[in-house]
Amino acid sequence: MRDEGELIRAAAGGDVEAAGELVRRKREQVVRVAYQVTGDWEDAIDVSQSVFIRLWKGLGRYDPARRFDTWLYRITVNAAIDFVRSSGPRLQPLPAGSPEPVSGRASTPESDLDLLELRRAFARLSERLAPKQRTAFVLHEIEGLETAEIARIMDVAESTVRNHLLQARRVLRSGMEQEYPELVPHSRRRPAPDGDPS
Amino acid sequence: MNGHADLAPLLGGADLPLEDRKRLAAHLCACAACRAEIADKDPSLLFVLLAAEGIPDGIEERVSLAAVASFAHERRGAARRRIAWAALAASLAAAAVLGAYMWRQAAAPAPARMAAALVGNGTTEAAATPTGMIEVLDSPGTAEVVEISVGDLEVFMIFDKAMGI
Repeated sequence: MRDEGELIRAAAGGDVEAAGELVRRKREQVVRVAYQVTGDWEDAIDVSQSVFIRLWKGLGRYDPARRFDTWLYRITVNAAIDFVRSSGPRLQPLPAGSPEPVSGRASTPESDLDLLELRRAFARLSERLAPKQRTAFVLHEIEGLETAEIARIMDVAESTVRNHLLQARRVLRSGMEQEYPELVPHSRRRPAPDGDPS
Repeated sequence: MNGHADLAPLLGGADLPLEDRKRLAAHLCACAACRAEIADKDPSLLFVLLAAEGIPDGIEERVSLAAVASFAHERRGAARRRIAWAALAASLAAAAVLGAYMWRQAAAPAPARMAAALVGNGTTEAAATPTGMIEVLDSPGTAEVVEISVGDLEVFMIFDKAMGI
């Protein structure tokens, strides 16, 4: 199996097979982040396509001293943010014909959380976040990237990333408690003012 | 802690790599007790569960096809740009050669120019020879081989027909 550096060099030199292999290795990362930021699979496909166009145009200028994934995340995040900004604010109820996310388990009302419902909540509440807050939250809380790497991806200071995360959590926490109490388990729900536990 | 899963990294705000996050998210999807524990700390942490979402069938393949197509398109564009630059460079070189020759002629001493004029006054065969010539030597496929001769200087150039020069 060819290593990543070799694939990048070959693709930069015009090797179609190397480019295809690079796409196979990186497409999941690109599509997933694009989806988490845009909240829609079709939009994620559009964003991913523009990511690879940008990638091919810039591959000759790629600095091997830097981590390729960080560079690719940066291209993806910038493309997704551009997309979100250009499409403007909108509420995103999932369309009836959209593909079902694969959760890998059957839902039972007693215990399983409905991921589709959670996705709807995130799509709606993240409209209240600035694109950079949403991106920082997605990369840290959902993609599991460290704040130092997020800072490199977003080209900001680490303290700025922490600030984005703090703001994003605050907005989302408040939105969850107010608008989606059914998603917040009982231990978190505030008792009603008259003492009625319902 | 309810003992089901180690929620400490989430509750403590520590970094948790994607694969571990996916495993934890899968557990949280099915375990109301663990969800209650993290929601008690911060309901926004529930969105960690979105790491458990899979990519619907067919989407990665669509992205692959479009990405490889855009790579091929970019390659063709780069090749066209290279040919255009080569042709431009060759044209500039030819212009420079022609310019240098003209300059040399203009800068020649007056007696020499006069002598050339006298010789060229229809008295000799050499003087009747044209001083410049452009000839298409060959035209294989999409290329065209052209000879440009100026006096005793000769330049061979290859043009791409698609450029319409």
